[in-house]
Amino acid sequence: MDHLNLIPQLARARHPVSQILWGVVVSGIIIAIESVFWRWLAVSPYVPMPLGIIITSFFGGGLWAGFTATFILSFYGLIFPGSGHWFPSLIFFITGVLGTLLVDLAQNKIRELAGKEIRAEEAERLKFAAAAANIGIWEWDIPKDTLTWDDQMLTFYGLDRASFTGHVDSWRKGIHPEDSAYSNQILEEALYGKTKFELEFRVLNPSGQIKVLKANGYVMRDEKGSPIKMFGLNRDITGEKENLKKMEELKAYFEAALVQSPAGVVIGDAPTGLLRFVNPAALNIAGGDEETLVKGVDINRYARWRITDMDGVPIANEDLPLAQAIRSGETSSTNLIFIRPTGEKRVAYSQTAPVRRSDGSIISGVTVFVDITEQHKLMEELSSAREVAESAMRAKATFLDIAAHELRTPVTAASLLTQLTQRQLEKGEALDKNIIQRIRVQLDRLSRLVVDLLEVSKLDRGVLELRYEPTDLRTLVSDCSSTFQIQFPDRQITLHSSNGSIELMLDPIRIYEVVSNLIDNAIKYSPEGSPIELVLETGPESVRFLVRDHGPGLTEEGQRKLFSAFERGTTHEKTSGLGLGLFICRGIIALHDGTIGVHSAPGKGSTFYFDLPKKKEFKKTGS
Amino acid sequence: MNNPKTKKNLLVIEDEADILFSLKSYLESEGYEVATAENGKEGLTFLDEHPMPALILLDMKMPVMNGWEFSEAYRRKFSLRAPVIVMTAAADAEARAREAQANGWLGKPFSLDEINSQLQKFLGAQ
Repeated sequence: MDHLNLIPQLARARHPVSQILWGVVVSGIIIAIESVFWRWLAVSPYVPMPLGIIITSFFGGGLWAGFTATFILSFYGLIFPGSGHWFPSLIFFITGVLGTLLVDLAQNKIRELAGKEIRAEEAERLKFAAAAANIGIWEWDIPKDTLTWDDQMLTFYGLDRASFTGHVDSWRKGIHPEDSAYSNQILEEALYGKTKFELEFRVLNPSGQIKVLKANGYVMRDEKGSPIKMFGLNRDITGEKENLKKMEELKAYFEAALVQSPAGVVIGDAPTGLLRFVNPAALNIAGGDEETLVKGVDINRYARWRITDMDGVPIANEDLPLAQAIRSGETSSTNLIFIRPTGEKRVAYSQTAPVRRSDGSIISGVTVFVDITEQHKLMEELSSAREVAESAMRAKATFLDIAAHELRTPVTAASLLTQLTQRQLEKGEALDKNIIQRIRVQLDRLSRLVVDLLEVSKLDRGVLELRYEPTDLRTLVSDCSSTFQIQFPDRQITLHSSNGSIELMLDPIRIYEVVSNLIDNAIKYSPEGSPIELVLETGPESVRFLVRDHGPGLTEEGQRKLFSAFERGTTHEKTSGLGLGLFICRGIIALHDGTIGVHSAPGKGSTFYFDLPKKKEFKKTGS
Repeated sequence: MNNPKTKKNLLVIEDEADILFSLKSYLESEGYEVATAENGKEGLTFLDEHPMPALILLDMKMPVMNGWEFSEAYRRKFSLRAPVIVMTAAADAEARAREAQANGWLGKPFSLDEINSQLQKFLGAQ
């Protein structure tokens, strides 16, 4: 405490002057000691009397105390401004002190009489209350420093009647050292300011036991505002404190589990839907931090979360599962898409339930999110793979149906023709050469179908073997073209090619098959009499053969299906067979490390082409 | 070998020329009067212009108008109908016959004897 700081010391002078027991004059400053808190009191004669009174009174010391102290000191300063005239000052000082003492004594008597009446009423009530509530009751006569404790108080402080001094020091000594300064401060504030006080502090019993007490007190003052008596209660709140601590530990335990949960957890209040809790995992799914996603949204803090259903349709806040759970008590589980602030989409599986009190009313709603983006992606891939597989299976089933029909038709025809011939022979009729020719045509047709099927099967299993030999592609195409020209004399088939041979390593039988197939298709799928153009182009690294017709052309969908097995671009009255031609062509060209394709549009005719590389190394079998 | 006056008329609807030829040759040798059509549409035209035959042999998979389409139009257009025997190369011939509400069926490939027994079932011995 700063003994030389004047204003705080004047503030301390609020207590009755009667408490000043001793004083000296040091360099013009009067130093005194007061008996309530055993502290120094210092006042200066250089402070003019009226100001001294005002200051002293303002801080609550009472008019008499301020007047007396300042009067004495001021006179000393006026009459003996220089120092060293100790006798008159001593006289004045003693006179002042004695005068004030007399007044103070008279006041004390009055207070005592008043206090007795109060004690009779208030104290009795307090005692009954204390006995009922198992609380300690105390009473402190301030001027006399007489402290009265009931048995419960003694128990709290671990004292017996014999060791209890009956003064306020018994209380001071009982306080845990760490709480001492703070407790004394509260008491002082009560003495010189407030009427009521409340204080929580620990006591350290002589046995070493620590208790937490809660003290409530009431200060009684005389008509001048000086405290004359305090009384109040002590309550042992050690158990309450421990329970509170346990509760806090429990809260922290569950909070830590929720915060660190690998699943996103969002808890919203009922009935407002306001988000009370959002854990980091939930924020992680939605993207961004708490600041950008949660804070500052008044009605529904989902407002900044962009959530859609699995079809990408935005979900309004009031339609979110959490809002529905809070509103109608619905439990639900659904997949949702979170659109992060970056635009990235996360798929989350959510389960939502209302949280109810024991009476069944809804207190909140809780949603748990699990990020299933990767799993969902995988499932979509699997699902699309399954669709492709199912589509392939359907195509195969359709193909088998077609194959059955296509194979049975020539078999039926050949069989019937043979039976007919047999009957004719049995009847002794001549052998009909025409019928034999018909049987042969049907069997040839059957044979071609079987060969096609076998080739597809080989390509499908990757066991179609090629026999490479140096071949002039120009001669090969030219031979094939001539064959068709003879077969279809009404079609103009022209070959455009540079002179000279185009030597390539290839399987001539297979490539002839491809060229033949492409020309055959061009003839089949274009109007009778329309020309067919064949072109051979030599590029730096590859050679291209193309067939251009003036047929109906193909849609994009038709072009896409064209090279698949078991698909036919169009049904045509003139066509029969299994629609395997182009599929086989593609397989053969692929084995030659080439590519096959078509340029076409409806009404514009079609141009089928294949490119073969000029290099010499080729694969032996397909994959 | 049969009396021309008692010859029964048959209509064979089939797009495959060799099968049609075989059936016509055989059935005529068996004493039937055989009319032919290469698809359902030709078959309907024939029925419009001629008296109802005693029996119709019907192929299912044909260009222009297939067996199903023919059956539907046939049932709609004619109240007095001849029995229809379908000839089909499909794996489940019987189911196809039911689809076309036919009276009988022949699964391709079939023998001449099988045709004969079907005809006898509906027309009695010729």
